[in-house]
Amino acid sequence: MRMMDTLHASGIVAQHLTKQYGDFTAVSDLSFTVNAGQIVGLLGPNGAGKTTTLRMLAGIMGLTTGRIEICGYDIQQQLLAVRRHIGFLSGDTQLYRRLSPRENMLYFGLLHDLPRKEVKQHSQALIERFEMQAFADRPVEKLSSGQKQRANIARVLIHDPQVLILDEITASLDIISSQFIMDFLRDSRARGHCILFSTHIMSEAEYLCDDILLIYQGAILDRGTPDELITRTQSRNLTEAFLSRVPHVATTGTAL
Amino acid sequence: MMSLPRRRIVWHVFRTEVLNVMRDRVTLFFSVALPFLMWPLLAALMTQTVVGHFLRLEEAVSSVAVLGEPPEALRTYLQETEKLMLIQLDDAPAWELEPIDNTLTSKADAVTNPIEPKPSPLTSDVANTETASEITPPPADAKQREWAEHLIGEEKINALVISHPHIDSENGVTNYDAWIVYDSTDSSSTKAASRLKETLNNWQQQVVETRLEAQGLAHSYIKPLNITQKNLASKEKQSRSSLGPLLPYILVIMLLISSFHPAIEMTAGEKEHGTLPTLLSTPAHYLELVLGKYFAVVIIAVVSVAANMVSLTGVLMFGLGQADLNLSATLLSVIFLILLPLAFLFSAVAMAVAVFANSYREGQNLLSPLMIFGMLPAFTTLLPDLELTPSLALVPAFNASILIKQLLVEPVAPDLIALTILSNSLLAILALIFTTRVFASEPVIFGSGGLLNTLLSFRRSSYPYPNASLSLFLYVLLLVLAFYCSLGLTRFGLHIQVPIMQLTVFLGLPLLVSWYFHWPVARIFRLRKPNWRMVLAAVLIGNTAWLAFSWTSQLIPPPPEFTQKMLEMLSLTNDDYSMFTLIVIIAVLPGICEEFAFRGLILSGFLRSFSPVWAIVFTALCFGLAHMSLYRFIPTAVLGIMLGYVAWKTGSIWLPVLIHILNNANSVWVAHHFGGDAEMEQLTSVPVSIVLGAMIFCGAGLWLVYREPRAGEAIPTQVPS
Repeated sequence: MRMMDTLHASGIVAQHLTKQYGDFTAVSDLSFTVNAGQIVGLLGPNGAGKTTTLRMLAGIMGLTTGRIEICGYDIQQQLLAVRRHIGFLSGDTQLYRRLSPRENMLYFGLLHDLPRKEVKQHSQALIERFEMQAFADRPVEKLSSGQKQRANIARVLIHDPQVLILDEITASLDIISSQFIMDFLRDSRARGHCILFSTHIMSEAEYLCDDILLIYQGAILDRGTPDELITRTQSRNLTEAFLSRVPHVATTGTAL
Repeated sequence: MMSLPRRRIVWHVFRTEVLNVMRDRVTLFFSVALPFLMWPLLAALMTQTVVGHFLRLEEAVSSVAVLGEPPEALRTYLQETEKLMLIQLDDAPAWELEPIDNTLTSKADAVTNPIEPKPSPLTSDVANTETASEITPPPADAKQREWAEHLIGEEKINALVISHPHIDSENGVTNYDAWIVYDSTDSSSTKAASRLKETLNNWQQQVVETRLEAQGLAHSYIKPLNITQKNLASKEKQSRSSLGPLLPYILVIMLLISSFHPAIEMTAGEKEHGTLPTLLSTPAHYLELVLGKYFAVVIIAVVSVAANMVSLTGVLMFGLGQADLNLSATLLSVIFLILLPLAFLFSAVAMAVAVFANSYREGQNLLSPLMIFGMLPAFTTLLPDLELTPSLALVPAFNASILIKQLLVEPVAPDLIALTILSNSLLAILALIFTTRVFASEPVIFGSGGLLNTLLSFRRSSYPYPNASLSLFLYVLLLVLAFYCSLGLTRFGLHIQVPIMQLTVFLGLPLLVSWYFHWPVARIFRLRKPNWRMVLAAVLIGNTAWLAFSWTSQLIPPPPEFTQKMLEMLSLTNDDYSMFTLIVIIAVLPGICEEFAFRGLILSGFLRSFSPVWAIVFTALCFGLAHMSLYRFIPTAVLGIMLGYVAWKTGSIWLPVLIHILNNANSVWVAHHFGGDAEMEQLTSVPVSIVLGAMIFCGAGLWLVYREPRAGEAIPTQVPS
């Protein structure tokens, strides 16, 4: 499978993505690429269109106009092939709460039409990799947030996807769990995966991202490496750079 | 993009959904544990309370008091009667009675009953303290009434007899008036009153016999008529009929509840808990996901119904001691078979509705109107004498409830059972198709499309063209309106009923809907002028199809009465109509109107959502089912397929109209000429040579149509053809 991928481009190519809900334009004319071995961060305030963009890239939401190619497959022509190469994780994608992480991995592996034996072996490997032995057979609803997120990531990786699309996966996690996830992302990059992720935590983005897309009201406001963005806005860090680029209501100095 | 759903993926989804839901204690409880707990518990409760109450009442001795001046013999008789205890009341108020005028009754008796002497020594009357103020004399005033109420309320006595003598001067005997005073809201008092009445009647019987003997007459003298009631219903039938209204009611409601819970859990519940987007991000096709979930809902509903049936049968047969209630295995299987398509239907509808909700609670809210809608038909089984008719057999839930109720009492015509199962199955398939469409809708899955907005928004802009769901909606509306129309117009006779129904319902409604949505009428209804070659083809098909496919009506052989009824209908029942009128009413009007509805709007809607083959087949099935008879289903559906094919291929509605008119006109003509009883046989067995000849002509017509280049599609389709 991986052999096939290397024949194709092994990343994400998005061209002129637009999504409309009735009269409302959620995403307008977004174009970017994410290459193998690269982490690209999608930054923007709430309602900027991050989740919609990621859903379109993951193929669970259609696009109004534009074109998406993942690992060389056109999302509109070869949707199911695209899904085979994507691992998608967001706040909306959860596990079956009455099943254990192991059962969840087995189920989603089978939905990828992989042989049962292979899925079981791979599940065991992931359980060991993410140190989930203690809770791999407990119902998901009984796990802590950090344990749940580890199980979620294991689920995403069950079919060994080349492209990872991750939507705010460290939100509401404690610092240890967040660090675990960041280590995992760096590890994946080292393994040659292509990663697109959105976050509200600027320090994470600064620490992880090779490239940043700053989006606002569905369109790209700015892009570049964290350093480039900081330099361009003459800020001290990414948070300041973000605030200087994104129009917002200042909360200081107006209380007169 | 994708051909057929992969069975192994559907199986994985099914298996996991069942596993996940069954790990939920609520589902497990509702679907399996509840039936096995509820019925024995209810039965036990009933035995303990209701039955126990009656038993205690039967066992208890009634305390009664006698006031006034009763004959001493009666007092003794009461004392000796079992389960009656005579209480001596010392504080009884003076119970002076108004003098009663007995002359009227005596005179009336004298006229109707010439027997002398008057044999009845006791005029027994039962007075209820509830309405006592209206009855004079006892208890005549408020004080007496209060006293009696107090005594019964305190349970010092349960009932009271007040008796006074009056002299029957005509016969020279002393007769007595007796009033039984009791409180009908108190069951012990009612019981005492009925015991008193029986005892007084027995005593009266004795006295009458003595008096007759004194006159040298036997007792039979005053018994010119011996009345005995004999109930024809066997004990089994009686207990089944008492079950009749209740059993379908319970089963249908249990089916509703047990399909709704997993349906909400697997749709709205999964949205709430975020597993639906996870599923959608896998390479499983949404059709595989829907099917897996659907079968999971169905199996849970079916298991629950089976559990209910087993538990209920067990309780009825053994728990309540009705061992004579022989619910045979065949009967139970037939009931189960009737409920099965209903389980498929309920599950599909419940899923289609619940998927609009974003949380379990919201799902429950959305389904509650449906719940009431589903309970309504179940409730109607409590109405006595409601029997299944062919048109009722098409109404989902109603049909099954009534059918089960009827089956418990008597055998039901197999065609009605088949029609019920067929109709519910077809609706279940259509509902499942609708459900898969809903699942494919992005706004629904991501929670931005409200149910009412999506389903009930008949905004013109949402429907530039008809689609399958609108066609289906229109079809159901047509059936309902046609049902009411025929109900309201039957008394005016078919010559009024048929034209009004055809013109308003089958032609008027589709035109009205098209006008509302601003649809291009000429395109939707295929108002294209056909060429002469196609007219020839239509004439060939229209004149021969009924003969060429006459054998299809024998696939499910109709009983002779049915054929007779059809013939009567075709000649408009006992009225002397001219051939011209008959042709207009039975052939021309239905030919035009029904074609506009079925091969016009409904086919156009189906064609936009399905491939041509399925669109034509679905339209034909709807057309066949609309004839409301199992025996007519196959022939009309076969005709429907040909009509649909011609309409689709040529793009002209006038050809199916012509075929339909000719086809019906031929039937009218045949009925007119061969409608007599003697020729009945000829109709049901057409010689093979004629059938083959007709097939050749019909085939030639179809071949001409086949050779014709296909007309462009009237409206843009959503699916590649």
